[in-house]
Amino acid sequence: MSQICELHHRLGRAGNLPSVLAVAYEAFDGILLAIRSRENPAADLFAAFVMAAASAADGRDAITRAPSLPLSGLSHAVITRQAGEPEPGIRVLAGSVAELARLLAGQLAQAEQAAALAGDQNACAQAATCAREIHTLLAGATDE
Amino acid sequence: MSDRAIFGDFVNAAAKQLDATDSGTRRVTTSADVHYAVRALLRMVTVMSRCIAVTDTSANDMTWRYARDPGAWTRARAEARQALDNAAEFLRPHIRGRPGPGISVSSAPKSAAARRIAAAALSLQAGHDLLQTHYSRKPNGLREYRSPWAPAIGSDQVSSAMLTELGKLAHRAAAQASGVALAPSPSASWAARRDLNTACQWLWVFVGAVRSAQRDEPVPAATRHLLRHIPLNTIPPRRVPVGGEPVPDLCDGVISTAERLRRAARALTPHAAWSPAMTITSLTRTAGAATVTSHNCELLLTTLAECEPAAQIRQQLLECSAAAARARESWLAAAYALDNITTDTRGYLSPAAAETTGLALWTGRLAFANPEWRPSAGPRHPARPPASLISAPEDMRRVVDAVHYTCDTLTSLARASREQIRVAARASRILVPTRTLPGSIDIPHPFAPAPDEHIASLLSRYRDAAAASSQATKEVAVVAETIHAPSQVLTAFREAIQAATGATQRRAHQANPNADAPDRDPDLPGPLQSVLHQLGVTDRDLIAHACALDRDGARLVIDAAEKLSPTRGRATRQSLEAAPVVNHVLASFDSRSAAFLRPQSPHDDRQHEAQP
Repeated sequence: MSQICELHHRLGRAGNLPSVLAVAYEAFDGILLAIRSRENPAADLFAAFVMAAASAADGRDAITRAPSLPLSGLSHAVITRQAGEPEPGIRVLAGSVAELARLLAGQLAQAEQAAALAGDQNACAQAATCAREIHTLLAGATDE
Repeated sequence: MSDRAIFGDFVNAAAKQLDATDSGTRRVTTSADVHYAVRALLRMVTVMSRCIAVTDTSANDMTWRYARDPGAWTRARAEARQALDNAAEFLRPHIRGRPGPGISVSSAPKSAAARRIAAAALSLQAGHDLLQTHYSRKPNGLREYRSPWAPAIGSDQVSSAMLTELGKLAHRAAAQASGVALAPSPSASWAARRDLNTACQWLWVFVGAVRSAQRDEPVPAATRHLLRHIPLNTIPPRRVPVGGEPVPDLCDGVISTAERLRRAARALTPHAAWSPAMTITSLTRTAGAATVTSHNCELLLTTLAECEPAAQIRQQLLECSAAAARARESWLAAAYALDNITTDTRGYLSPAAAETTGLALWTGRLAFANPEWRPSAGPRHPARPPASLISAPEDMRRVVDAVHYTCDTLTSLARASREQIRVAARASRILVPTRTLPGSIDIPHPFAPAPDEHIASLLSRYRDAAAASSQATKEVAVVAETIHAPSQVLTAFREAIQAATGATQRRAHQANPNADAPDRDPDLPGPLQSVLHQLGVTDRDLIAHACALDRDGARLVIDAAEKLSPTRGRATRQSLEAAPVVNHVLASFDSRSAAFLRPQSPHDDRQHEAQP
């Protein structure tokens, strides 16, 4: 949970295109990891999580096609829990991921506008679409 | 699906035409009657030959088929072709000229029998055309498959079922046409009547060959059911649920979407090496939607098990549900395996991926109580209550039908996806990020072809998904058979496909002497029985006695014919006076009765006729 919050924070601070792309890559990776670890058919968010994971994998793939993505400094997200930190409820997790996806979609849309290279524009546009899909799939999780 | 024409519609129409009887008995045949009966029967014979040809597949398949020990049906097929060819040879010379002095060719046939045979031939031609929609021609003239049904149509099983159906029609057509040939006629050509009757006799030889094969290797009722249910090859229109559909509409939506997906999946492998739609986007969306669809099937089967009408098969349904759960786990594992790869193109969504997403939506609308259900998160979505799922007696079959079609389609999808990945990998289209490769491998590009172990792992996940989906299909098929759901045809379909590709041995036929009982061919009345009918005798004992005498007479003629010289045999065959007895002998389908005609070919007889 704390990693999702941290990614949210880092994404908000990312300034130039390479840093947005690098954090976006990590964000999609983090979303994928967070979702994959909680895909439980007994929970009623199963379908939403499975489809959101497909969008996250696709979004991460879209980012890797951006020419301005700094490959050297790229790191995979690692989802760990700090000692004593309780596992979040599945709906709380879905809500957090939806929020991160919403921010991701906005940042990538801005990056698309700012990008000079067609490859970067395409990558940002496709990844933004994936982020919007994740948000749509998970946004209603906290409505009871 | 139910709106589409099926082959059985046309076979039934043809049989109905041939089963009709005259309102009044015609005692005299005119020249025009014979002429039109000849034309109609030739049309019927020609269409039957075409129908047999449709069930023969490519040259390779035929080589494989005949390389094996020729079974009863292989022999029957050869004899049937020969008999139809001979029948056509006898009829052809009589369609060239005018029907007779003062009779216009364009006038409508006076003989009801000729009209019935012509109408039956037209129906059967329409059925033949329906089967042909499953094939197309390549530029080099070879036939190619256009639908998933095509391999089944060319299978040994369906080919045998086709002969069985045609045999029934041939028997009826011969009975109708021989009635025209043998009725007294002051004006009709003796030769035309004789050849019309001989053509009928060859049709009975055809029927006899089919009957003999049917005795040795009975065609299972399920296979005949399969042949009759082959639909017109059209793609069902894409449907999008609007919300609030009743269960029958949702089931129809599931089945038509499954059919569309099955067709889309067929296109995956042939295009995998080059298609821009072979993307990681398509692969991940397909695997995700297939996981959700399997999950929805699991829910549906659990709900069905709780329904009151399903109390007898509760345990079976729970086992089906468990099998669907294993399919869901396997699809999810395939989706996980895709997390580590990419493709050379991206962004495009294949038709198969779009249809799989549609199938997830339709099955979800059926499985969940919320009429607006979507995969997206929201307030909790409880499963549809049992009373809502099965509110009418027919709903049980409909829902099992929908689940059966879905599981079967997911099996095809898993197999097609696996093959697609294999072909794409061979074309170096499956990639991994270079940074995930060992440091010793130095590649100056962000992506590189996936190593063999990546591909092998991915393929094994899809193999598991196919196996688990196939197992779920088999479990649901047992339920479908128990409750006589229309989707039973899928089981016969799969078996026919497996046999056609030579992947498995033909299932051992279990002789079921009653399989044909409900629609047994009507017996042709013998000469004595016919006389009693003409006299208006209805006494059952007398008719039974006449039948017994006719049967004994037929045996006597067969025994005697074996000892006849060829010249005497030919004279007997050509005698119209003896024809009623000879017809009855042939229609008795004694295995020796065909020998009565066999030394004879149309060519031989004509040669003999030409001699002084």
